[in-house]
Amino acid sequence: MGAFMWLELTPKGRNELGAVKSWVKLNDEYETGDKHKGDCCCALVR
Amino acid sequence: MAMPWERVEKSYQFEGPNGALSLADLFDGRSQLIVYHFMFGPDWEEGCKSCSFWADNFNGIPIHLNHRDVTFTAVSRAPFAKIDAYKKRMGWSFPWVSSYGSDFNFDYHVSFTPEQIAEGKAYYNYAVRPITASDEQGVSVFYKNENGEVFHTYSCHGRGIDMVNGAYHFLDLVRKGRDEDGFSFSMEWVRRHDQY
Repeated sequence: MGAFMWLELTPKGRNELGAVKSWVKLNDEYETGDKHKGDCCCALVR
Repeated sequence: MAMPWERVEKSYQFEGPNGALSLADLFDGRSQLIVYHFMFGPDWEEGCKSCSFWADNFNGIPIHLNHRDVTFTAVSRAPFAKIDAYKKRMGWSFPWVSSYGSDFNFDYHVSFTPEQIAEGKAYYNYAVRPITASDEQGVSVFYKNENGEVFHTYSCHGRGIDMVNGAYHFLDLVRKGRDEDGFSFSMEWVRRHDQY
């Protein structure tokens, strides 16, 4: 629920041009090796 | 409601776990940035209990926002060491940086000067209002284009941020609702999650 409320405040909104929620994964299943895996990456989180 | 975009011309400096960061750095490789203005003044010993209630609701979602081209961070004026200690106490993982020494909080109308506090009023939530605290809550959204130009695209404050508090949405579904009548102020019942 919370993530969609935040997305709706941004210029791109939910940005779901494909099937609705097709981008959603379990929080440990986003692509391995993704530069931004984790709550965030490099600069903002230790 | 869409708001006019405003180019951010001023340079702001923040401190994160790895040192100094600019506003552009906070985007962390994405084009959209959401800032939660977390009330935690430089001389406070702990973060605001109501903002902590909001944080319990948004902790854990930045990874999902990241995959819609959004970086999320909280920003407070407290020095980074205080932020880091409080974040550890609360067990949170979301990004949170310090704007200590920067005009950022003042320019986005969530922190107030000693003169404004002495006067008892300041511009907040799109109007001049009575104020008592040095810092208030809010949400601001920014966009960075291909040329690296940053734009402020949205802000809301006060009870405008209720819309991103999932616990309130759930309470609004039950028979008693928020059940906040009879308090001296609506969120009087809220505690930090380690203080119930």
